[in-house]
Amino acid sequence: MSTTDERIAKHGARSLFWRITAATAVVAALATLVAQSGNVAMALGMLTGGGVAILAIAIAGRRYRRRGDVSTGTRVLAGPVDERDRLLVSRSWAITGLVVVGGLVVALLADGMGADVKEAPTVLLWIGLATLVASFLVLDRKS
Amino acid sequence: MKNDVRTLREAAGLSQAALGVALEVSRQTINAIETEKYDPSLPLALRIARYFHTQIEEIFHVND
Repeated sequence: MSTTDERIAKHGARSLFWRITAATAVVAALATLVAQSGNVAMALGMLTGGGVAILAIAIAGRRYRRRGDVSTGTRVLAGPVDERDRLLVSRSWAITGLVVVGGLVVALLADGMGADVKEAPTVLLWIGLATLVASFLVLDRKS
Repeated sequence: MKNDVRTLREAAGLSQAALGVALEVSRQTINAIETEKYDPSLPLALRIARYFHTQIEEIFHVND
Protein backbone atom coordinates (compact mmCIF):
# COMPACT_ATOMS: atom_id res chain seq x y z
CA MET A 1 0.00 0.00 0.00
CA SER A 2 1.42 3.41 -0.98
CA THR A 3 1.80 6.30 1.46
CA THR A 4 -1.21 8.02 -0.12
CA ASP A 5 -3.31 4.86 0.23
CA GLU A 6 -2.28 4.48 3.88
CA ARG A 7 -3.13 8.11 4.64
CA ILE A 8 -6.53 7.80 2.95
CA ALA A 9 -7.21 4.49 4.73
CA LYS A 10 -6.28 5.95 8.15
CA HIS A 11 -8.39 9.05 7.52
CA GLY A 12 -11.25 6.85 6.36
CA ALA A 13 -11.10 4.60 9.42
CA ARG A 14 -11.06 7.60 11.81
CA SER A 15 -13.87 9.32 9.92
CA LEU A 16 -15.95 6.12 9.91
CA PHE A 17 -15.43 5.54 13.64
CA TRP A 18 -16.64 9.05 14.49
CA ARG A 19 -19.59 8.81 12.10
CA ILE A 20 -20.76 5.55 13.63
CA THR A 21 -20.19 6.81 17.19
CA ALA A 22 -22.10 10.04 16.49
CA ALA A 23 -24.94 8.24 14.71
CA THR A 24 -25.27 5.71 17.56
CA ALA A 25 -25.32 8.47 20.18
CA VAL A 26 -27.96 10.48 18.28
CA VAL A 27 -30.20 7.45 17.68
CA ALA A 28 -29.91 6.29 21.33
CA ALA A 29 -30.61 9.78 22.69
CA LEU A 30 -33.64 10.33 20.46
CA ALA A 31 -35.05 6.85 21.17
CA THR A 32 -34.61 7.42 24.93
CA LEU A 33 -36.43 10.77 24.73
CA VAL A 34 -39.27 9.25 22.72
CA ALA A 35 -39.52 6.24 25.10
CA GLN A 36 -39.64 8.57 28.13
CA SER A 37 -42.56 10.41 26.56
CA GLY A 38 -44.42 7.09 26.58
CA ASN A 39 -44.20 6.09 22.91
CA VAL A 40 -42.19 2.87 23.34
CA ALA A 41 -43.22 1.42 19.96
CA MET A 42 -41.89 4.49 18.13
CA ALA A 43 -38.67 4.33 20.17
CA LEU A 44 -38.20 0.68 19.20
CA GLY A 45 -38.85 1.63 15.56
CA MET A 46 -36.22 4.35 15.78
CA LEU A 47 -33.71 1.92 17.29
CA THR A 48 -34.42 -0.64 14.55
CA GLY A 49 -34.24 1.87 11.71
CA GLY A 50 -31.21 3.61 13.18
CA GLY A 51 -29.51 0.27 13.77
CA VAL A 52 -30.04 -0.79 10.17
CA ALA A 53 -28.66 2.53 8.90
CA ILE A 54 -25.60 2.30 11.18
CA LEU A 55 -25.03 -1.29 10.08
CA ALA A 56 -25.16 -0.16 6.43
CA ILE A 57 -22.51 2.47 7.16
CA ALA A 58 -20.33 -0.10 8.94
CA ILE A 59 -20.64 -2.55 6.01
CA ALA A 60 -19.81 0.26 3.57
CA GLY A 61 -16.73 1.07 5.65
CA ARG A 62 -15.61 -2.54 5.67
CA ARG A 63 -16.03 -2.77 1.89
CA TYR A 64 -14.06 0.45 1.49
CA ARG A 65 -11.16 -0.77 3.65
CA ARG A 66 -11.02 -4.20 2.02
CA ARG A 67 -11.53 -3.23 -1.61
CA GLY A 68 -10.36 0.37 -1.84
CA ASP A 69 -12.02 0.92 -5.24
CA VAL A 70 -15.70 1.14 -4.33
CA SER A 71 -18.82 2.88 -5.60
CA THR A 72 -19.51 6.56 -4.98
CA GLY A 73 -22.33 5.67 -2.60
CA THR A 74 -20.06 3.47 -0.46
CA ARG A 75 -17.45 6.22 -0.34
CA VAL A 76 -20.03 8.81 0.69
CA LEU A 77 -21.21 6.56 3.53
CA ALA A 78 -17.78 5.42 4.67
CA GLY A 79 -15.54 8.28 3.51
CA PRO A 80 -13.19 9.84 2.68
CA VAL A 81 -14.84 11.60 -0.26
CA ASP A 82 -13.33 13.61 -3.09
CA GLU A 83 -14.56 16.78 -4.80
CA ARG A 84 -16.92 14.98 -7.20
CA ASP A 85 -18.51 13.02 -4.34
CA ARG A 86 -19.06 16.25 -2.40
CA LEU A 87 -20.61 17.89 -5.47
CA LEU A 88 -22.98 14.95 -5.99
CA VAL A 89 -24.03 15.01 -2.32
CA SER A 90 -24.65 18.76 -2.28
CA ARG A 91 -26.63 18.61 -5.55
CA SER A 92 -28.71 15.71 -4.21
CA TRP A 93 -29.48 17.69 -1.03
CA ALA A 94 -30.39 20.73 -3.14
CA ILE A 95 -32.89 18.69 -5.18
CA THR A 96 -34.26 17.10 -1.97
CA GLY A 97 -34.67 20.54 -0.39
CA LEU A 98 -36.61 21.81 -3.41
CA VAL A 99 -38.91 18.77 -3.39
CA VAL A 100 -39.57 18.97 0.36
CA VAL A 101 -40.22 22.72 0.26
CA GLY A 102 -42.62 22.13 -2.64
CA GLY A 103 -44.32 19.41 -0.61
CA LEU A 104 -44.58 21.74 2.38
CA VAL A 105 -46.26 24.39 0.24
CA VAL A 106 -48.74 21.80 -1.03
CA ALA A 107 -49.40 20.60 2.55
CA LEU A 108 -49.92 24.16 3.80
CA LEU A 109 -52.34 24.90 0.95
CA ALA A 110 -54.20 21.65 1.67
CA ASP A 111 -54.34 22.58 5.36
CA GLY A 112 -55.68 26.00 4.43
CA MET A 113 -58.43 24.36 2.42
CA GLY A 114 -59.40 22.22 5.38
CA ALA A 115 -57.77 18.89 4.44
CA ASP A 116 -56.37 16.55 7.09
CA VAL A 117 -52.59 16.98 6.90
CA LYS A 118 -51.70 15.16 10.11
CA GLU A 119 -49.57 12.62 8.21
CA ALA A 120 -47.86 15.24 6.05
CA PRO A 121 -44.57 15.38 8.07
CA THR A 122 -44.13 11.59 7.86
CA VAL A 123 -45.00 11.51 4.15
CA LEU A 124 -42.66 14.43 3.43
CA LEU A 125 -39.84 12.75 5.33
CA TRP A 126 -40.16 9.58 3.25
CA ILE A 127 -40.50 11.58 0.04
CA GLY A 128 -37.37 13.50 1.04
CA LEU A 129 -35.38 10.34 1.76
CA ALA A 130 -36.51 8.73 -1.51
CA THR A 131 -35.63 11.90 -3.44
CA LEU A 132 -32.20 12.08 -1.80
CA VAL A 133 -31.34 8.49 -2.72
CA ALA A 134 -32.85 8.64 -6.23
CA SER A 135 -31.28 11.98 -7.13
CA PHE A 136 -27.88 10.79 -5.85
CA LEU A 137 -28.06 7.61 -7.94
CA VAL A 138 -29.13 9.49 -11.09
CA LEU A 139 -26.51 12.21 -10.66
CA ASP A 140 -23.82 9.59 -10.01
CA ARG A 141 -24.61 7.92 -13.33
CA LYS A 142 -24.86 11.16 -15.29
CA SER A 143 -21.88 13.09 -13.94
CA MET B 1 -15.13 20.58 -21.43
CA LYS B 2 -12.93 18.57 -23.79
CA ASN B 3 -9.68 17.28 -22.34
CA ASP B 4 -6.70 15.09 -23.08
CA VAL B 5 -6.52 13.35 -19.71
CA ARG B 6 -7.18 9.90 -21.16
CA THR B 7 -4.49 10.34 -23.83
CA LEU B 8 -1.95 11.55 -21.28
CA ARG B 9 -2.82 8.81 -18.79
CA GLU B 10 -2.57 6.05 -21.37
CA ALA B 11 0.72 7.49 -22.66
CA ALA B 12 2.02 7.32 -19.08
CA GLY B 13 0.87 3.70 -18.83
CA LEU B 14 -1.40 4.38 -15.88
CA SER B 15 -4.77 2.92 -14.98
CA GLN B 16 -7.61 5.23 -13.94
CA ALA B 17 -7.27 3.91 -10.39
CA ALA B 18 -3.52 4.59 -10.31
CA LEU B 19 -3.99 8.15 -11.56
CA GLY B 20 -6.77 8.60 -9.01
CA VAL B 21 -4.44 7.55 -6.19
CA ALA B 22 -1.72 9.89 -7.47
CA LEU B 23 -4.17 12.82 -7.60
CA GLU B 24 -6.01 11.80 -4.39
CA VAL B 25 -9.38 11.39 -6.11
CA SER B 26 -11.47 8.32 -6.90
CA ARG B 27 -11.26 6.21 -10.04
CA GLN B 28 -14.82 7.30 -10.82
CA THR B 29 -13.75 10.95 -10.78
CA ILE B 30 -10.96 10.24 -13.26
CA ASN B 31 -13.43 8.34 -15.45
CA ALA B 32 -15.99 11.17 -15.25
CA ILE B 33 -13.32 13.71 -16.26
CA GLU B 34 -12.12 11.57 -19.17
CA THR B 35 -15.66 11.04 -20.46
CA GLU B 36 -16.32 14.79 -20.10
CA LYS B 37 -19.18 14.25 -17.68
CA TYR B 38 -17.43 16.18 -14.94
CA ASP B 39 -15.28 19.30 -15.09
CA PRO B 40 -12.64 19.23 -12.35
CA SER B 41 -12.19 22.11 -9.94
CA LEU B 42 -9.35 24.53 -10.66
CA PRO B 43 -7.13 23.00 -7.91
CA LEU B 44 -7.64 19.50 -9.34
CA ALA B 45 -7.06 20.73 -12.90
CA LEU B 46 -3.79 22.28 -11.68
CA ARG B 47 -2.78 19.01 -9.99
CA ILE B 48 -3.51 17.12 -13.21
CA ALA B 49 -1.43 19.57 -15.23
CA ARG B 50 1.46 19.44 -12.74
CA TYR B 51 1.33 15.66 -12.64
CA PHE B 52 1.76 15.48 -16.42
CA HIS B 53 4.32 18.34 -16.40
CA THR B 54 2.25 20.58 -18.64
CA GLN B 55 -0.14 23.55 -18.54
CA ILE B 56 -3.89 23.48 -17.88
CA GLU B 57 -4.65 24.97 -21.30
CA GLU B 58 -2.67 22.17 -22.94
CA ILE B 59 -5.01 19.60 -21.35
CA PHE B 60 -8.43 21.27 -21.13
CA HIS B 61 -10.16 22.86 -24.10
CA VAL B 62 -13.37 24.84 -24.09
CA ASN B 63 -16.09 23.32 -26.31
CA ASP B 64 -16.68 25.63 -29.31
